[in-house]
Amino acid sequence: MSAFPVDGCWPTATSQWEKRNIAQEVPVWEEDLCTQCNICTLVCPHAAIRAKTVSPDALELAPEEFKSAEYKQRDFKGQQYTLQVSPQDCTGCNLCTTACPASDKADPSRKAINMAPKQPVLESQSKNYEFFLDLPELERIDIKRIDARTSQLLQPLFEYSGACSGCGETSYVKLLTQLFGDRLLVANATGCSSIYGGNLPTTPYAVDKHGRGPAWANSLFEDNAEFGLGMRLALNSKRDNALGGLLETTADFLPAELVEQIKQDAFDSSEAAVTRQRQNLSRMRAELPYSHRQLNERADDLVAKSNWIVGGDGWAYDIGFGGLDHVLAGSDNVNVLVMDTQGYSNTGGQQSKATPTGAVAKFATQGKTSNGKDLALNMMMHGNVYIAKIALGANMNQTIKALQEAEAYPGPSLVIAYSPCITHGFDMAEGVEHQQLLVETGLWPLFRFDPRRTDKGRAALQMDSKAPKKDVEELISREARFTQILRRNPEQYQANLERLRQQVAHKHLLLEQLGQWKPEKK
Amino acid sequence: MTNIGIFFASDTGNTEKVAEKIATRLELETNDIAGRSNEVFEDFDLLILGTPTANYGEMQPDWDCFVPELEDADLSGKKVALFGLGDQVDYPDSFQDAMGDLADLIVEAGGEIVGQWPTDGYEFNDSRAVRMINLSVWHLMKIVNLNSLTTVLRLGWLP
Repeated sequence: MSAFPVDGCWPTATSQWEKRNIAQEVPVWEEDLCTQCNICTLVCPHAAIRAKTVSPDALELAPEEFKSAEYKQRDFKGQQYTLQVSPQDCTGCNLCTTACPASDKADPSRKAINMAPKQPVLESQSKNYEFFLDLPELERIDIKRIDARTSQLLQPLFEYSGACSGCGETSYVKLLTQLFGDRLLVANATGCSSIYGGNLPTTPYAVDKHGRGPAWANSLFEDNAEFGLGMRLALNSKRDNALGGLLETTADFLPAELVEQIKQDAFDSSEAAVTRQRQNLSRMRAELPYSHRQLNERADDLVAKSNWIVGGDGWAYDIGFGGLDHVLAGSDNVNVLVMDTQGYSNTGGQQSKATPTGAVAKFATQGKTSNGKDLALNMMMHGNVYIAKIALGANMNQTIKALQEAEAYPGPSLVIAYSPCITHGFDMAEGVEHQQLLVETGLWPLFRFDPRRTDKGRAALQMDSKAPKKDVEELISREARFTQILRRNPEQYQANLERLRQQVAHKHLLLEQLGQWKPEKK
Repeated sequence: MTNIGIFFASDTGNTEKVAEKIATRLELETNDIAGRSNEVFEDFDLLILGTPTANYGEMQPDWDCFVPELEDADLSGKKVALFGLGDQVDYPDSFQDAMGDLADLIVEAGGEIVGQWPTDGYEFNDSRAVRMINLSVWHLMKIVNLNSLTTVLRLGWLP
C-alpha cells in the first residue's frame, strides 16, 4: 500500500535530505571584507548560501571555525551578522562569488567570498551550517523595511531544488517564499518550475519553525492561470463561509471589537494584518466554546492568503495564454509570476513567442524570424492589471518592490521576470552582470504599470530603467543562441542584429509615449 | 536668513555621520528621510540632501520609498544641494548613480540644483551623477567615503 495520501498530497521540506554534494568548489567567506549587502544570498539559485543576524549570545556555542562579524547597518545595530554556505547543497555555480562587489583594495582578486575546493572544508562547513540552521530566524514583522538586502535575512522556504546550476528562475521563487512564504499558495504551470518544484518524492518547498510554508500544486500546462484563479475563488469562498456563517454566531462569546478586527484583517494580506490576525484568531480560539469548534477548525481561512500563479513563458505566452488573458481580464486578486527564459527550457529549448528575433531554438534553427512577443504591453491594454517587468540581476530593489506591489494590488497582477537559462548559451556565473548589460541595451526595459496612479494624475507607467545606452550587439555577441548564426551565415546575423536594433529603438519610443499618457490633473 | 534643511538616508550609518558633520558646521539638526512625507521640505529655502547608492546603481531604499512624495512635491523657489557617498573602486560603473537619480527628481519637482563640483581626482567608468556643462564635466557636490571616512566639505556656495 502506498505511504502517500490518496488525494495526491505529499510532505514538504524534504529536499534538505538529498545532499547531492555535486559542487567541486564552494564559496568561503572573508568576513573582514564583507559589506553585508546580501547580494550573494539574493542571487543564489539553491538557497545554499544564507545570511542571518542574531544577538551575540546566540553564538556562544558556535563551532570553532564558525564565522561572524559585527552587524554593519543601522537596523540591527549591536547584533552579529553571519553568512554561511551549505557545502553539500551548493552546486558550485559561482553566481555568488561573481556577483560579490566587495574586494580587498590591496588584492582585488580576494573578494568577500571566493570559491575554494570543497573537500578540505566539507566537514567544518557542514558542521557550521548545521549550527547556522539552528540559530534563531527573524520574523518578517521585525524588519522595518523589507528591501533586496533585508529580504535575505529571512528564511527561504524554497531550498536545494534540482534546478540547473546557475538557474535564473529559482532566485525569484525563493524570494517569493521569503516575502510571503508562510501564507503562499502556488499554482505552477508545467515546465522547469513544476519539475524542480515537485519532483516526487521530494520537494524544495519548506516550512518555517511555526510549521507554516507554501502550499503548491501543478495541474496541467494549458490550464495554470485558471487553476490559480480557482484557488483564489476557493480561498474567497472559505473566508466568506467562516465570516458569514460562523463568525456571525459568536456575539455572545467574543468582544465586538475583536470580531470587527477579525472581519477587517481577513481581507488584508499585509504583514501587519496577517500577524495581527493570527493573534486575533488565537484569542478567538481561547474564548470560543465547544459548540463553535467548526469555526475554530476553519479559523485559518480567515488569514488572508497570497496566491500566485507561476510558470514560464512557454505557458504564459503560448500554451496557457488564453487562460492567462481570461484571468487578467477579470477583477479577482491573483498574482502571476512569469519566469521568462524566452523559450521552452524544460523540454530542451524550443522557441516560444517570447523568443527574440535571431535567437536559435528548436523549431527555429536558423534563428527566429518573427519578433519576440511583448506580453507586458499586451496586458496593459486590459487597463486593470498591475504589471511589472523585472530582472533581478539588473535591479534588485525594483524586483522586491514589484513583487510587493503586485501582491498588495487588489486585482490581477502580472510580474514578468527575466530568467537567464542554459539555453541562452553563456557562462551562467555571469548572470548578474549579464542582466545589467541586457537592460542597458534596451532589450529588456524595466518598468512598473500601476493603473491606480492615474487617479493621482500620474501616468500608470513608470520606467525603472534608463534609455538604452549600449548597443544590442554587446549583449547578443555573448550568447551562443545568437552567435551560432554568425558562424553559419554572417549576413543573416547582421540582418537579425539590425532588426533587433530597430525593435529596441521602436520599443523605447513607444514606452516613452506611454509614459506621457496621463489624465489631466483635476 | 536662509532656512536650511538637511535630509539623509542611511543604511550603514556613514551617510548619517556625514550629514551630522555638515549639520554641526551649520549648527543645525539632521533629518532621516525614512518614512517621511514631502511636507518636511516646506519650511526650507535650501535643502541639503544626502544619499549613498545601493547595489549596482540603485536608489537607497528610503529615498526610493520617498519617490512618490517627490513626484507630488513642488520645490520651485528652493535651492537643493546634494552630497553622495560611494565607492569608485568596487562600483566603478555605477558610482553615485543614486545621487544623479535624486537630482533628476529634484529638477522635475521644480528645484534648482546648486553646489556642483568637478570630477577631477576621481576615477570611475560611469556615473549618472555627472552633468556636462558646456565643455567641462561637472559633478554634483559630493563627499567620497572609502574605507575610512574622508570628508571634503566646500561651503563656499552657501548664501
